[in-house]
Amino acid sequence: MRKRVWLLGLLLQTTAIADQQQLQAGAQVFMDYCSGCHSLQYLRYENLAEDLGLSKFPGRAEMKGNILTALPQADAKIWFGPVPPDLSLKAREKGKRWLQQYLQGFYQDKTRPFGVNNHRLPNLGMPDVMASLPQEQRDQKIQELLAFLLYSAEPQRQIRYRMGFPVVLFLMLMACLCYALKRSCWKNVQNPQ
Amino acid sequence: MRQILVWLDARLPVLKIWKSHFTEYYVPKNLNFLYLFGAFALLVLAMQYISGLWLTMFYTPSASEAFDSIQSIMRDINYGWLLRYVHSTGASFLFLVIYMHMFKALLYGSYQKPRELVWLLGMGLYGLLMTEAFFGYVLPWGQMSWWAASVITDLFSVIPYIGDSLVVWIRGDYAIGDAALHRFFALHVIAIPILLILIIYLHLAALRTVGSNNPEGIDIQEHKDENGKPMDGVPFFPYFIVKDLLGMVIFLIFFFAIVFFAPDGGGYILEPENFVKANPLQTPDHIQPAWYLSPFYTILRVIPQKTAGIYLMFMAPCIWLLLPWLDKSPVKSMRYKGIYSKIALAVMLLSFVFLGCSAGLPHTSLTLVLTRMAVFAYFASFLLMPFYTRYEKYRLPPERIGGRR
Repeated sequence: MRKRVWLLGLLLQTTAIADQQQLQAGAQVFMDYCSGCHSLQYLRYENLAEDLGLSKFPGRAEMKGNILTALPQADAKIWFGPVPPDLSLKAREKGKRWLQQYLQGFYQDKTRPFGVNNHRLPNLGMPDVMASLPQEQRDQKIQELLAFLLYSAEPQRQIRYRMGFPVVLFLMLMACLCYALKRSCWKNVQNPQ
Repeated sequence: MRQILVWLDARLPVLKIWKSHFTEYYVPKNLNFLYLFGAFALLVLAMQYISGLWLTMFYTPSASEAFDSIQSIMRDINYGWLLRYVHSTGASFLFLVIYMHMFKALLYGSYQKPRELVWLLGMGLYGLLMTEAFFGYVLPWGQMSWWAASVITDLFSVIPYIGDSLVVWIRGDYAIGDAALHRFFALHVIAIPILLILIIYLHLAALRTVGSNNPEGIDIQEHKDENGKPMDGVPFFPYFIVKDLLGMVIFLIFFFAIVFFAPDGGGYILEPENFVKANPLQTPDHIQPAWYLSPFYTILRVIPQKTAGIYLMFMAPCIWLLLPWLDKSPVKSMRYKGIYSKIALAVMLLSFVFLGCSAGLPHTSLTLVLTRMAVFAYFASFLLMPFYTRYEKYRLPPERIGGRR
């Protein structure tokens, strides 16, 4: 009996909110390297603060409202070609693997306006914002950013995992009870199939 | 309590209905797992109505706000994400359940006399369901929503003389836009749900008039005891209420496991392309309908001529309507039909599944040939039915369930 309780506790633990630390780091990466051009229009600063355990945003008195970029859309068209897309749902649209390959896929190409091209998205309009970083730091920041983008695409993902376990366990318990009921009701019926 | 019942019964036929539809309505005792899917369909539909109703409270059916309202449901509304996932998972599960339900009918000949009307009404429900799913899919106003709406409404242009005007009339504009979204919303939330309830009522009434078929294909009404009760049947209440309840609880385990742990369904329930707002100027890489419409869309795709393709695609579900008259077999159940029927059923099933899966296969000339062969096999297994069911060697089922011949 004690073993089962412990197991249940372990099960529920593994679905607890993962790494607020990692998400905070990812948010930092986003703000440093991405928010100059990309918005997260479906996220709000207040919700971000609550979910990630942030009490304040360093360097700012107060941030409110949807996370938008300061880049004017009209200028973006002239400078980059395609307008830098909103990234709130990018992780659900492309998936983690695509994003990873994209972020790691920049290479030098003198023929392009910004001097870089990308294996995953040929002839893209985006410059390599992490070009100045050494590879190790770059890898780490990309991992943090990916975790953050996955969170942005679906903020309640961990909550739904946590909620799912008790729901399914309850239904399994109910199934046992219903099975007993069914057996007791049908026991008198000779049931050759 | 008893007083309330007496009061009610003097004003509504509650005791009469309780007897005729529950405690004294006899159902064959050998109904198996496949017979649960009708009940599951009712369960999932009820969940769709309730989750749909709540979603309607927060969704905005205009082209400029639809996508954003869904994100608001997912992020701001308390448990909005749960409502959304129940509804989207429910749509896929409803089709899964209905396909299993139709397969049961195919397997045990439940469409044969005297249940032809049950079958026809059921096929009407299937058509309504596909239409409902199509309209519902447009509502999130993602890339796939817009492009699928555009492609499917365009198909009507193939009708002679009135085709092009018909397309504009359906869309309410020259292209899919705000007008189309508004009317699809109205049809999805009001018109089709009301029609569904009506036809489900008729479907159940037609079924209960003649009673359920069973895996042996025997008529239980032929052998009654001295009280006039079928000897091989058990009353619906409590036997099948209890059995359906167990089935439903187990079903819900799978359903909620998907809702909570894999609502994207590996990209088959919520498609990745639909997480991008509709953009008429940017065609997605692969325009394809949801998995449950995929076999029919594949038929359209592989027929080289547009008109022929559209007509064949339309014929593919319609041919099911003819089943009660195509099947000339004197026995109902596949257990007693001949070898040709069994082979034909396997061919029907495999070709249907293959047609569905070929959307995901690479488009080479080999897959094209194979897919066209599957289309041919699919239609052949139906059209040849009057011949192989009449001339094959069959066995007779026993007189009683559990008996021997």
